[in-house]
Amino acid sequence: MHPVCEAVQKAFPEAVLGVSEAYQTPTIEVQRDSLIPVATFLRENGDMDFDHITDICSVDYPEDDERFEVVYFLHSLPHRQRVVIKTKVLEDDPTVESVTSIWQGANFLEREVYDLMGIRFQNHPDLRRILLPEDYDEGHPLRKDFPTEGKGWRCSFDFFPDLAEQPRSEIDRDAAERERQVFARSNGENGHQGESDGLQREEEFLLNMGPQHPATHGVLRVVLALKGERIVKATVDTGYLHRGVEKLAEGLTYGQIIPHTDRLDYVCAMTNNYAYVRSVETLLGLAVPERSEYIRTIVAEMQRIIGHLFWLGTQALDIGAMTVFFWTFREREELLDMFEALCGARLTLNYFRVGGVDSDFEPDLVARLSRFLDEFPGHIDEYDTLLAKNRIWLSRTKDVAVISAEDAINFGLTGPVIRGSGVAYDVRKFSPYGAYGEVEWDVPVGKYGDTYDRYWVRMEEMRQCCRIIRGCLDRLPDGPIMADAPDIVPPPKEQVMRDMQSHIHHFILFTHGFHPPAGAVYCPTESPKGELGFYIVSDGSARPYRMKIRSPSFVHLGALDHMSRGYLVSDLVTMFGTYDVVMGECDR
Amino acid sequence: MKAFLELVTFSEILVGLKETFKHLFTPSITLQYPHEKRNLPNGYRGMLSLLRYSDGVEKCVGCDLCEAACPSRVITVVSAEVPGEPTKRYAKEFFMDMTRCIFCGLCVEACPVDALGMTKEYEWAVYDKRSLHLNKEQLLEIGDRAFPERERPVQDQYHNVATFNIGLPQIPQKPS
Repeated sequence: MHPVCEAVQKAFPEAVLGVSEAYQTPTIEVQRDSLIPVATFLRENGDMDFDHITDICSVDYPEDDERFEVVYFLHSLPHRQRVVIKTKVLEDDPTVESVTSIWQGANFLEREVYDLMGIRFQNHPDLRRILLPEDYDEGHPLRKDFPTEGKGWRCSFDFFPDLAEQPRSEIDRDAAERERQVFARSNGENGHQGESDGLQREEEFLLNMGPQHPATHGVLRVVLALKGERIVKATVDTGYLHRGVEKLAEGLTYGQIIPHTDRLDYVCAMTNNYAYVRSVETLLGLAVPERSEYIRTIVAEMQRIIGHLFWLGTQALDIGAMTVFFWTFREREELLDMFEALCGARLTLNYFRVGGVDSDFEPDLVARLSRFLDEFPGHIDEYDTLLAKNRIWLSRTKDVAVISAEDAINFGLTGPVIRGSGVAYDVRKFSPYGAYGEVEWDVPVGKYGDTYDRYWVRMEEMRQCCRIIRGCLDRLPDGPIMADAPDIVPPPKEQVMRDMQSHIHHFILFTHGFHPPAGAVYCPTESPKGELGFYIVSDGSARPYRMKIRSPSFVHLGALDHMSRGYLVSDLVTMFGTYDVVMGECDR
Repeated sequence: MKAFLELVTFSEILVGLKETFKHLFTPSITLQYPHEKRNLPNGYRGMLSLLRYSDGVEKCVGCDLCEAACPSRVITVVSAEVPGEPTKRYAKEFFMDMTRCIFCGLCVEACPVDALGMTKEYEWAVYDKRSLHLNKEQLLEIGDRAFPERERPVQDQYHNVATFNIGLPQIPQKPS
């Protein structure tokens, strides 16, 4: 038995209902009432030290006595160990104790579970709907008895102005009685005589930022409580771009989901494809040909460069530097043209397939890519000349949105955001996949956890991307690009009309799809934004029983309130930029 | 002292301006779009179309595989027997709701007879959404326009395809 399971079972003999070690992940099923003691044990015991909460997921089994299952994914960064905790909940009493007191990052994750599955978390500080509108009263859409098409609910907010209403002919020029009293009282208390005294009152000011705001990188709304120009509290309101991809995926075969994952983080479609395909392959236990692994690594790193260029351009634009935006988009364009030659699309690429990739690298493309790699480090230096020492850039980024390493881990942050705080957590190094274990590269790590450090980390990452791509191109092996697995991978097109066996396989795979074994797997991948993971529960059919997307943008927004308190309103724009949020991924 | 001089002379801004100034003399990469157009690569995933063989016969055999493969339910195929030839089938009706299409190319990949093709056309903005609900004739017309070079009939290319129910010698016209 795995040492973690053993230790938990030893400490809580009657609470542990079962352990398993499927897909090399220790999974412990505990009783609902002893969830908090087990979680505290895992968090605080020095040998365990599960300090990072990756995700919380819920699965609905309508036939079971205990209908819902809540799944916690914990990660111990010091010991590089993952563990999955499961607990079952009754339909009549769907409540679990909240773990927000142990991991603050659980706040948003639990709200999402409540919103979509209807499981209530006791002692949660702010249990409200998060993705769906607050007046949504049709139930919880991820339950199996909720139809995918929805129940015909429409928001009661009237988007269209009432045209029959008469315009108001006069405006009240006098302040209301209530407001005048405030002035009167402040006059009396201060005991001053003067005209301006009435304006010197202190109260919180609520400011609505977004959803239509050019600096929020999508449709994100933040309600700010301000004191003067300082932020007292920032309440994030997401869900304006919620499409229900997780629900849609339950009705699609595994192959059909790939184009839908493109639309999660539309800036970096390749990495979404990669994360999804890797999860399915882990579920199937399918090995991918070596050439395909290298190609996947190369395109994922090209996509990371694109993602970081996009981030750099927009963040600089938000802060007020315009030139960088044009220059980064010039380089991005070159990479997008390469993608276009490779797979025929620029943004929604749909390039990965379960078992390999769609098309092979042509020698012409390899030459273009190496020419790009020769020039690109020079371009990064160009951006640095404009920004790295610029006093406006420094004053807008240094000591802005600081988050300590401890807090960053506690909030479950990943990617460049956590690396900027000095935590060298990178999935590519922790559990190497693709060709990352075979080429040389380093993980850049910041120091103070401010916006400037995260900027530096991302700039350095682009240089490392060049190293990885160069290393992969030098070693790019020959061979097939699709795995030899006739029950999963469709046969080559030219054989379909020539050979009866291929013909049958082709038809079966495109109508039925393939059937992975029953089981559940969580597979993390390092996307440019952070750790992107897909948790897939399979019941042995051709469609996933439940698919949960662990999107880094969503988890990062959970820390926005913590990070923004005390800063100026204008720094909030920097914060959106430094998270590199993409709402398509955040809202799913 | 050096730091002070850099501070008062705005040296880092001057260095940045020098870099931007250099870019004045680099060739422009902007395309004046409606007047100039990009060269698209061959595998470009643009507007969908239906194809024909070189003798004018439609390739589609109405097998419904594209409909099954489509992740956003764009395609509707109504398949029918070729009158007088009960072993052969064709697509009597073929609809594509292009407002839903996500241009993933899975239908092209699924088609066993390569009857679907993705063209390089992308300027399909319309005023009326309903005009994007294309029928078979419109899709064939796009195919004729975008792929002037047609493939030879399959029975000419390979000799063992007769069992697979394609290569229709004559296709009946849709009753109008």
